[in-house]
Amino acid sequence: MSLVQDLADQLRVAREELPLPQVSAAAERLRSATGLLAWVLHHSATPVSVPDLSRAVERLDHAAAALRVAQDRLDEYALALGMPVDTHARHHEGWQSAVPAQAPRGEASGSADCRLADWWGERIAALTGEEFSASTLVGDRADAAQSSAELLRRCVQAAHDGDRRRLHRHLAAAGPAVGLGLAAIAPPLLRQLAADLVGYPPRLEDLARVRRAALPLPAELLPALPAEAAAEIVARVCHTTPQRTADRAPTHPVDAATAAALLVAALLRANGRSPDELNQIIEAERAAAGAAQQRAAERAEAHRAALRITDSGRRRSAVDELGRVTQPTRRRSGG
Amino acid sequence: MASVAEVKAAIDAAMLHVQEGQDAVRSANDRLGEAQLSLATAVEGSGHEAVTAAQAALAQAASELEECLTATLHAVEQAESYVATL
Repeated sequence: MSLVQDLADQLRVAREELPLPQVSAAAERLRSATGLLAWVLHHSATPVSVPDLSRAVERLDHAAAALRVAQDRLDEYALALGMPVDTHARHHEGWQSAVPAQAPRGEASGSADCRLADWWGERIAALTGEEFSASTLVGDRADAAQSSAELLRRCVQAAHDGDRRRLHRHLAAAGPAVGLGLAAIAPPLLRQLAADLVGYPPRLEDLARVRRAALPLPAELLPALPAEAAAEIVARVCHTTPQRTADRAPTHPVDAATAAALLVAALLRANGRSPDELNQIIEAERAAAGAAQQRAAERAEAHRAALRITDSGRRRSAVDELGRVTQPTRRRSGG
Repeated sequence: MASVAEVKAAIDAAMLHVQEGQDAVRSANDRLGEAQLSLATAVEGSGHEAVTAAQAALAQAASELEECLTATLHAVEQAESYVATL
């Protein structure tokens, strides 16, 4: 083996030792914990005291990014030595297998993890009227949606097909971390779909029309889903305050997430659009949000520019500038 | 409305995940140390820009992992305090 080959081999070993699978596993655990804490936050009288993991997750993301940069630089060095780099194979080898397997939920009875699965899975089972089965859940988890957007797409498809069992399996398999995200990603889409329905951004006057289009599907598909969960979301879409009596408990977060997904399905159908068009709508919504952000940034910049007129530092700079401009004139007149 | 027992169970489960996350971070840190050592041995004497950049990125990753661990320890302390108030 030549010296260069030996060096390339050592580089390959160092590269393979990079702990991306462990970082990925840690991120997955923290995401699960974040999902649970979101639920606690919802029920907490003092939300400030609830533990916050956002900083830890952010640091993990940075660590993963730094490791990928290191991989790229090592590849670059290997190429500089004249050694080919099989990047595709390297990026994937051992990635999944090296991630520590998550303990199957629902099997270790009495463990805290089991209580977690029960909380999410049992509520989904109660809403859908399907049986909660830990063994089915373990099988479904292998094919579970990895993001809230993907879960939404699957739920919308199942809702359009009227397949309650499939809806149950998708929701139960996704778990709380991904499932609770439905309540976050659906409202902007609902606003857009409601605007498509009435022809302009929905207002209080449009509430009845949007309710007529949106509420029947959740009620028909999931009779056990409290009607208030969907009604509250529709009210917010139309910028009205949901009616709530003082003695009624707040909406369960699982109900809100499930209702949000079904409302997206209902408004898609009301607009005559198929579930396949959901990705397109999500992209359009993101583009609109990006454009709005851009406009807000431009407005903020314009305001800052206007404010600079009254800024004393700016005035001093202007006076200095004036001095520099007038100085040569004085010299010329003096000479 | 969730009962205190439910909230405590949810926090316990969350902290179990956090502890598993901490174990994974510690494992990542150990493995990163080995990778840094392997790389330092392999490229000893090299002044190539890519090598310097790779080593800097690994040092940055180690620092981020350390800060992540600190943040999770803080979250566990917060959780213990919160549970004590329930």
